[in-house]
Amino acid sequence: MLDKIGSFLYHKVFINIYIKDDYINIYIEKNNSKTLILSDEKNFKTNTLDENIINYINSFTKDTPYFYISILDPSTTQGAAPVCEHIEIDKFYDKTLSKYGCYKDKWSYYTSKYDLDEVNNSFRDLGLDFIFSPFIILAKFFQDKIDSHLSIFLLVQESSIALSIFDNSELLFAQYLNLKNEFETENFSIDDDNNDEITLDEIQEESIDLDSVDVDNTLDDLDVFGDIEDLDSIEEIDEFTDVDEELEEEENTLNNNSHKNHSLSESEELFDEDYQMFSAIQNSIKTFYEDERYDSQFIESIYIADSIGVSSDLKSYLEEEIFLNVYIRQINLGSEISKLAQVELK
Amino acid sequence: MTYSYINPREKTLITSELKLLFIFFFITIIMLLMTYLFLTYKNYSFKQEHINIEKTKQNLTEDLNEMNSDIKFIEKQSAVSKKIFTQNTVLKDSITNMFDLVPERITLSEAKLLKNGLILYGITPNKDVYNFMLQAPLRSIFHNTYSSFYPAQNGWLFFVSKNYIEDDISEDDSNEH
Repeated sequence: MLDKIGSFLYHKVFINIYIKDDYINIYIEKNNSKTLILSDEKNFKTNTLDENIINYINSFTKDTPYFYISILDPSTTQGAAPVCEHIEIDKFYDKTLSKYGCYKDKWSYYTSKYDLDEVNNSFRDLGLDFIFSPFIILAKFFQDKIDSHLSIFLLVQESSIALSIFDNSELLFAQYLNLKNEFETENFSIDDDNNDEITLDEIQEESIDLDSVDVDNTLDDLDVFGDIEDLDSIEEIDEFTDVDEELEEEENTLNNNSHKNHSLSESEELFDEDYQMFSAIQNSIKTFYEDERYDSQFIESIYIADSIGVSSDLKSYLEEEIFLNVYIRQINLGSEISKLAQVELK
Repeated sequence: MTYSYINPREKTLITSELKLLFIFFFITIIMLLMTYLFLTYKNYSFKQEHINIEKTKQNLTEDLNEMNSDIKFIEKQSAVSKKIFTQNTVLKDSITNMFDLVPERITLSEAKLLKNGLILYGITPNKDVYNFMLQAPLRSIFHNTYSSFYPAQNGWLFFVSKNYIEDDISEDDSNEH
């Protein structure tokens, strides 16, 4: 009764947060009982909840007690499994360490309890009402396709991909891909093709950062040469003039090479990002086909919910390398989280 | 239908400020109610006290009236007693005077004091002593004096002297003979 009076008197404000690599996105919707009155979106270049974010949110929430703060689960140890029964869940994840829920009693989604506590703790000044799994967003967003297709469905975020394979609304496979870790894994696997059976954790522990090896080591070498030149100038020995000339030439050559490396690095980065995504997806599909726990079927199409604006390269990789029909649909994550929060309240 | 890992915090129309306001109003109302109850009780108490005082007052008035009547009665009694005392004093004086009147040679054997008279019985050596020494003063006091004598064995005379105030002469006369 009191709630009805309250909802008649006050607007509902939905604050939707999702954390990107180096900034936090806040999407706000102010609703009447039925209609959208106002929506606003802002990015804050920070990784933690700061005063600016709190002030920004408070400017919308100060007039109403009916505000709901939702966040997209940023945990790296989350996922979904094609089972919902308690007994079968243990095959896919440790339910004692995870918080999980069932989607329409068909499949389950889970996240680490520790990560959940950490999110709650980092947002304790603000308080949270809903924490949603990206797999739920994905399932809702592609509801029309999931119900009638056998396909791969992706939710692409800046540093992660929620990958799921549905066959007429039955989940066959799902994996949450953390692109940073995947990238390191991929580099490692390129070097050593025999390491297919090494687990992700082992790879993380043993991996070598090849990025830093490629460029930084070269620059370190240059520094060493620089030191040699200093020593020469102090001692001023004539006999070594030829050697100096040789060294200068070598230095010039190395400098030219480093400039070339630098100009290449940007295009390499873009190439890396797309290839990183592609290889992560490819590995994931490979796991789906090879892992006996999953009912593997031949996949012909892939639907991508794109929140970052993926390049055409990724599309062409997927089309040319693994012969998939690629369909990309733009997604506003803030808006989708808001929709889900509104559905939760009904 | 809940897909969130956590449950939403309870939203209430009553914010902390409103809660504080409600608490303030609640306390105020409670205080007013208590004051009202206290005053109602006091009012009732005063009314009861008033009734009691009225009753007491009535009782006291009744007592006062009773006491006044008692006082009047006592005053009357006092007046009567005073009168009696006065009469007794008068009587005593009269008796004293009477005995003073009796000479040494006459001996009284009986005296009767009447409302309007005096009857004396006694013995006298002779009539003259009686006439001169007793009858003469008695006549000065009483309007009518009647004396009768009869002889005693030793030669003296017994006498009966009846003395009356004037109003009762006729009556006394009739009583005498």
